[in-house]
Amino acid sequence: MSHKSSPDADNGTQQSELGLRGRLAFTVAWCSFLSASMATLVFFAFVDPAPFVAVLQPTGVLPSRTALYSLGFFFFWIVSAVSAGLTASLLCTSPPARRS
Amino acid sequence: MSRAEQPPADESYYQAHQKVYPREVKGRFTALRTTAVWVLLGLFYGLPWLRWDDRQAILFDLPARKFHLLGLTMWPQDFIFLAWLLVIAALSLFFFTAVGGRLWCGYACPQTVWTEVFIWMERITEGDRAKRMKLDAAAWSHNKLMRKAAKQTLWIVFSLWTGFTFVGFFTPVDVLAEKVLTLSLGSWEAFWVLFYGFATYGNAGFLREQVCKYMCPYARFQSAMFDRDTLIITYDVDRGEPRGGRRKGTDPRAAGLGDCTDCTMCVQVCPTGIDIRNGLQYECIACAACIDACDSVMDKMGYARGLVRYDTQNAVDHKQTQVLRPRVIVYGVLLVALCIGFIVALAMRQPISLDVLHDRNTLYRTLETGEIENVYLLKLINKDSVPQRLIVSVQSEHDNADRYRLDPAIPAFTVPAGEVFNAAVRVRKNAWDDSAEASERHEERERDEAGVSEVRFEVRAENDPSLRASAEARFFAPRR
Repeated sequence: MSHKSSPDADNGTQQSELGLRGRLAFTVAWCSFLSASMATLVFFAFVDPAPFVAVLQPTGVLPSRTALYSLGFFFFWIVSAVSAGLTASLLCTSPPARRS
Repeated sequence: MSRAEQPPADESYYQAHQKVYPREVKGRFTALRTTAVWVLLGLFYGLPWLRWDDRQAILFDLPARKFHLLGLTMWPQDFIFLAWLLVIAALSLFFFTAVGGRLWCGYACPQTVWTEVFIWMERITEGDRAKRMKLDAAAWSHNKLMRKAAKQTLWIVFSLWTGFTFVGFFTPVDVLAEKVLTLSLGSWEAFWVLFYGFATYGNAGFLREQVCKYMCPYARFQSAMFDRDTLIITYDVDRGEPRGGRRKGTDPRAAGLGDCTDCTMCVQVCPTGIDIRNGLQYECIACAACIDACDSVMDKMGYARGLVRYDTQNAVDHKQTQVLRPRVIVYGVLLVALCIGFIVALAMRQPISLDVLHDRNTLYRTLETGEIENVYLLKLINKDSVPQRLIVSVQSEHDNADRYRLDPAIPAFTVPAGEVFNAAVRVRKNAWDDSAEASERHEERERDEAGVSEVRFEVRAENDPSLRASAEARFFAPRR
């Protein structure tokens, strides 16, 4: 990849929006959103989070299942985003092929 | 930056976005798509309000961990049905793509459906295509401000209603509505209403065709289901070229022209901003707006319709189109088999299920009578729509069943419809009696000495013996 900093070299008439990095960030967020949704669905179909929280936190107000599902979803989202983000970053900063 | 300094087109992921202003179009396929929008959005916004036996007919009750689908109640144990349904959905997508191309994209995809509505709102506030382009190019004025504000208001209200409806599929919608009206919405509920509302607003209001071009996985892999017999939207090059303007009534053949008048209507109506005359492109979502636009021009010119039409690549190349081909047959057979299997499995699904947990605190207790007692927690689940009285019994496949008895002798529990009932039962086992037991029951004696044996709990409905479920558990006794 020859261009590094500002790839949105417009010709003026076109509406400038996100640069390459912006688009990559959105792609990473979007793809990890998709996989996090799948992971949340499968995980919470088999695991009911409520009893675990009740054991960990025997006193005090327990968070609702909705809250636990939501937090679980964000956890999966962050984990997938880290993986996708690293992949994107490694692919986009790979050193140029050596000329022979 | 000069042209030479720009990265070559094939190396860049990024292309500056040019806003697409689709022109309004009328015709057969537009009518079909409008019908699809009404039906699908009608279902989406209406279904949460449908009632069934004093509860919401369609409710994926996540807080209670059960899904209500009309008369059915699905539990986490029924996850296989959900997975199965998703496989059926994916396979139907493959099947319809192989036969009819991107029918999903053009008529049923939520992205298409909501974008249609958002564009309609844009049209009623900002005017038609030419007016919208002029308005965007113009300097800010009172008129522009009012029109933009009206559009944003419509968009935001509609998005919030969409977010509310979405959450209404997961928590009871009437309770949710009450909470919204009294401003006492829970923080997570409020968050998800706003989250889904914002996603709708962004995707249908701004991103639009960019979602299909850059974000949609289906758009990327749908070509794998395509072949030369798949229905696509095509421009008839042989008939249309050479294109060019002409007066009405001119004989195109005499003027050396094809049927394409180069009016660019097909380009103006395209929601993804492509020119269908350049051939099949991956951006084409097969919405058929260009067919309607071209047909209306052909009608005006007195030419035959179908210069742009639904057809297969083989037909365009003057070859035979084959509808039944291996790909379609394989997808079709698999789809039918999965659907039949699903219906059979659903019909045979036992509305009763049983989970058994051994008491965690004490493994066993020796009674004064010499019997060994184990305590179990039974989880009786009634997935039926009517209450059931369930009778519990205990058996052993290896040991002499007479050695086990329950306390109470015949435990029976009434479990309300769609509920889980937790019940504790005690199981007592006779101590091994050397004099009474025959010596040939050697294995049983060995198990007895080891201290662990298997028992099987069975529940059956009192008034319908065909409803039954069973579960295995271990019985602990002191080692001898």
